[in-house]
Amino acid sequence: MKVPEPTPLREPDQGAVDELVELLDLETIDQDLYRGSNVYTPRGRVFGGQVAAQALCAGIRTVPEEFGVHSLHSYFLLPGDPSIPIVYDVERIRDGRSFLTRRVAARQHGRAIYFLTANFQREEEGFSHQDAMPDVIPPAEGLDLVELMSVRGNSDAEALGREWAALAVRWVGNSKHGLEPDGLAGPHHLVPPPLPRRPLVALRPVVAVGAVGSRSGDRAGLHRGRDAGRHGGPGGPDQATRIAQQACNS
Amino acid sequence: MPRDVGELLSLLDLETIDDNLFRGAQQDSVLPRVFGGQVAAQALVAASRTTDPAYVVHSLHSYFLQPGDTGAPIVYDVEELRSGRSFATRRVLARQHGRPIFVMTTDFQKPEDGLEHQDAFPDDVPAPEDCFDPQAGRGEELSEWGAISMRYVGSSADLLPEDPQRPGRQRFWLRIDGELPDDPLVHAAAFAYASDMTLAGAALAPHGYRLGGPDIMIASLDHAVWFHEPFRADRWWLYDQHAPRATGGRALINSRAFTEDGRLVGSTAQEALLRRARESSR
Repeated sequence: MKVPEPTPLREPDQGAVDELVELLDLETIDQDLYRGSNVYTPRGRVFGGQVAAQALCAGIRTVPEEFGVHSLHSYFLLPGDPSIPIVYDVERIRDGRSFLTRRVAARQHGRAIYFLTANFQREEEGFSHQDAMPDVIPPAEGLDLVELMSVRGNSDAEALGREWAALAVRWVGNSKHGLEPDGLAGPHHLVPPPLPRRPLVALRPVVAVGAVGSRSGDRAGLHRGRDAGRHGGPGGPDQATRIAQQACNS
Repeated sequence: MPRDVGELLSLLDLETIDDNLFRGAQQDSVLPRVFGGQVAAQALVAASRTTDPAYVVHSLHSYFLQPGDTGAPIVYDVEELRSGRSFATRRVLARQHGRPIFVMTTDFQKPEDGLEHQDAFPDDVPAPEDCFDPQAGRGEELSEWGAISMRYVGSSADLLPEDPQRPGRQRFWLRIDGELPDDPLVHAAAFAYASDMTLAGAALAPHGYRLGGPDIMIASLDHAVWFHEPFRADRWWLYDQHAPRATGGRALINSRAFTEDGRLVGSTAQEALLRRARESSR
């Protein structure tokens, strides 16, 4: 594969950024109930990051300004339908002096597609430390992700570049190319040694990856809804491909 | 707090009140509030009780909302968020005195095969028998933790190799001290229980403070666990803790659990509230 030279950083696409901001500007339906719009996507389901961002905005609408979000945890339950809006239903779990907690259910067609719990804190002082920033190339020296996909023969690259015009993504490297071993995320792609272990009962029955179409062994009445298409794409041999696939599949 | 394995198992054996509604017992404790790992472990057991055993827990995310009262049992209310073909999701609300004290969402997966890799087991970790036992020589204060053995490997403030890039690090060997039954759920719940221990120490190491000191107030804000694969919680596992950032009264601690034979079997992430005692008012 011929590796392209990095191209100059693009001028920001203000129209695309405005569209992103508009996505985050939810309509208020009632107290603690909001509606988020969708944009056209050729990908068949809503991008997970959009649902997370809109759900977070719904939570933020229900807390006083002096509380800032410091964490969120969420699960993707069902693929989002890009052809209709998404309803965000906020539940006030805790209203404390220092901390507030909100849970947001994202709903479409009467079913929950996503759940988020987020925590908000009144600003305070405290201990401060951090890891050092890794030694990396600046953005202008990284390859543009869309161009990289294009070079790699991804026919969706151009369409993806248009749809994601609000984002600039520059490839820095992965554990195979471009990144130094750092003891944490370095080239430790080892399959662990097959040492004997004392087995637990009911340890990992093997199900082929391709066999998700078969449905058996489920307790009657357990399945109330259709199965989820799982959020996230198949893993690829390297990170750029993986990022691109996630972008395509999410 | 469980003084032995039997007491730990009785904590995990919830009483069924109704469909999707359970009650967890308490044990005598010198702690002023319920230990977070106990609530997380009991909530996980409650969620599992409502899930087809063909599905295995692979992750949980939770927030601690209010201090738990050690003098009253805890009610666990389970909501079925999804019962899909490959995945089942449950939300558990832990309640006392009519108020939520803890909320957890947890996901179960029908086991499948896929890509596999893992980080390497860290270099230069001494064996558990060569490490310091922080419980040795301490009296009643720690005897109520008798169900869990720990060995201190070190922190970035003392025994760990220097790494200026990562100032907040700590390692412990941990295990349930005694034989647990073979049920994988028991081991997952026991891991969830013990995984809430010692974490703030990694975040305090760069600041000259130690866990348990009178001058510091610590609370777990949230707790997330990924169960990569089943393992025995009653054999030694290395708890390799890394606190990449502290600011605004909060610190994040990312941790990995390795078995003695080098398998990366679990990961956790927790944000802890760290206050000097004089700042403390919640």
